[in-house]
Amino acid sequence: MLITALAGLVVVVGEYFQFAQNMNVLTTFNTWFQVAQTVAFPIGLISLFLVHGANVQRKRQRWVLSLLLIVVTSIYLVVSLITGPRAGTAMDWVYQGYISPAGSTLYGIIAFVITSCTFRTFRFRSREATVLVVAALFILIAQSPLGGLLWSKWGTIGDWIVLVPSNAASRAIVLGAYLGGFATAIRVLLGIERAHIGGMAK
Amino acid sequence: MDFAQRLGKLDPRWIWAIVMVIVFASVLAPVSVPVPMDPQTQGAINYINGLPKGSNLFLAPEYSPGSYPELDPQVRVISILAFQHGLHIVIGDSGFALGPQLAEAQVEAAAAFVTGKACTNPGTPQTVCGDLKYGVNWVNVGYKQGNGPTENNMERNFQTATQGVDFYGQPLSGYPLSKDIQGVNSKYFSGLWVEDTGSPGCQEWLANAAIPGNLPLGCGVIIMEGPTHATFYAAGQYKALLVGARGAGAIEEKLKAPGLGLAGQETAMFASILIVIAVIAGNYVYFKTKGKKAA
Amino acid sequence: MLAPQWLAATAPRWGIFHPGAAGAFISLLIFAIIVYAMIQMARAGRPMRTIHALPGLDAMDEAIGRATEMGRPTIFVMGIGDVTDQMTITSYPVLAHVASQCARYDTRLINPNRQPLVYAVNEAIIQESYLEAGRPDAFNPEDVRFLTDDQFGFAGGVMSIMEHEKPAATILYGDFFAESMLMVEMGGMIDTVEIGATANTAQIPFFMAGCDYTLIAEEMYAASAYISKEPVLVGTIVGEDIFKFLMVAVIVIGTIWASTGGKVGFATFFKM
Repeated sequence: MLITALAGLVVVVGEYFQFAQNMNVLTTFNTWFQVAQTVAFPIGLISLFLVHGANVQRKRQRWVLSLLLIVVTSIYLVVSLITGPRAGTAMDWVYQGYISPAGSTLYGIIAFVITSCTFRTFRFRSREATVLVVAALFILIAQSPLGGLLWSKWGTIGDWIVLVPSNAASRAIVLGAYLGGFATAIRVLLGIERAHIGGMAK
Repeated sequence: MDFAQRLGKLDPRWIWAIVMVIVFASVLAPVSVPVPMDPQTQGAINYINGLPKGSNLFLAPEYSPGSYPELDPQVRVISILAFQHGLHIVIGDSGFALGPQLAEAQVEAAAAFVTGKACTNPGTPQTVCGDLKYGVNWVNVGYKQGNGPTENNMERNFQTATQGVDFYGQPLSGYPLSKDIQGVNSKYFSGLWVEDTGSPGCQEWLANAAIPGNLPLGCGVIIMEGPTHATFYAAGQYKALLVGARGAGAIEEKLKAPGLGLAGQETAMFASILIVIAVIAGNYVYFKTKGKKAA
Repeated sequence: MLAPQWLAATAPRWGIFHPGAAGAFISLLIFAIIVYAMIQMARAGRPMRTIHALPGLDAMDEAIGRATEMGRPTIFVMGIGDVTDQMTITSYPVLAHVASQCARYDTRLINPNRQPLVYAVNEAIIQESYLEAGRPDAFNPEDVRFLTDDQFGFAGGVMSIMEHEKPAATILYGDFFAESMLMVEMGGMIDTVEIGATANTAQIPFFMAGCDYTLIAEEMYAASAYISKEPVLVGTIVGEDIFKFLMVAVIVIGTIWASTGGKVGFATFFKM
């Protein structure tokens, strides 16, 4: 708890005071954190190998996929360590050729799930729900070329809905969220919140 | 079971199949649709055109390959506007390792479009695109890890924060554009444009560089983040806000520089129509079966 | 020209504070004093107000009970934030509570993670919770796992786990971004009770649309106080509310000032 409190104090001082900025306190601190995070990566890797290794060893359901994961991860790890993250290397080739498109594909799947979600959940159940659905559809059409084709003012009204009423609600939520975050931070710094070090709040 | 009940039990994979048909149809048989300009997007154009000619623009591409369909077109059109206005671009970020690489490809594409000449040696420090060349008109300092503190360091001591080297490992002192830059602030730059896909992004650059460095900040975001960032734009903390591929498409149409932004717009339009139909169908099911349940 | 107008609105630069930080620091100090005062009042035994009902948190125990009856697991996804993220930190007490309930009811708890540090902390929290519930033997380290640090790779992994394990209770509690929709819709396709909580305003609409119960923004920060009912924790929530009233007052004054063409002085405080 003492370490938490001290670390929090250092971050606050580093963030707000000019002398700490000049001494690069936060940069140094952040570098330590990056190092700690990097050192922690093998922990995740070990967990991955343990879980999937157990699947392979006990021939559980889909153990072949676990074996594939272990083999691919190991090969990519070795290749990356040898070639490094430079353009034109094998690591870059795998990233550009597979990992990047795979990530974009999963991002694209959101379009499909949003459509099925709107069919399942957007209901005119109450007055508030009706306002919500109508506004959502209005903004949806405003954000696509359809709005401009139907009516020249659609985009302007859509912008107004986003910038005025939606903004007001958004600000209220964000204000509450950040204050909640502050309160949580103070609880952690004062040692009242201790779940992260293995004890429920006291 | 009547039609409404059967429709209510529809497997979502049928809906996905319809979306897939729409996407493939619009890719195989593209229909050109006009993308009208809205005031917010026009504001992004005014932002770039309002910066002093010949000055430097810092471009922070805080995005990963997952967001490239929306943000790559934005980087391209902003770069086209910047080069047409005579600005120099310095690319660098501190949150997403692949952002600068993705952005530089778009900056090169923009340079090729503006000069009308293909780039030689793309993706290297020797890239030349007609009159525009790496080191003179743009420099890529790459990803410098550290998020907020690094951004703050870049604002105060650019050479130290970037370790004095660019993305290719070459000294910044060797390029006419970057050799004298000491900070991402109003002394060396006239504007800061950030591409944001979540965190870190525009808000961090606003707090760590734009405010202390007294730089006007323009923000390009994915469409899902638009309402979140609208609060900062409405408050005047962002001087420009460009939202999604649609915003980029509107600028592409205005500049007559068709690209990825415009390419997806008819798909977006038909998908929007499908969503409206889905909402109507869902509510038809709801009201039809609600009566039966009540009975 | 845009640039000269903005340069003309420069706030005064103070030597003590980082530019733009003085007003924020003073506000933070006021907030910290108010919260500390409330904590001290709670410790002194002064009665504290109660937090209104949060259906999302009440539903967690019911959802875990449902999972127990159906013989299916509970899945707890803490988002993609790293260990320094506020939403991640605020999720720890909830995870501890859920783990404790799962240990008590002998229900399997699956916790996939995106960040290795978060995975390490979560494993310790869950193990500790099982120990405190008197069921250390029931803890299965393979159920707390690191998937990948790629955002959509993680989403794909969680969707795969949900599809194969078919949890009866799905708790999405933490910092989520675009991948949240994928998890929410996956939950909609399997027979599960979904409880979503995030303070990310871009994702709240998806949770509202797809989840059975949703906790919005500060409701998730009140979780540890709500679950434990500790007066000291409730005191911090009360302090938060007091500061919120102050902020509302400042907003009203600022709006009136801005609308009536007020002087520079008032706004300068917030730009310091």
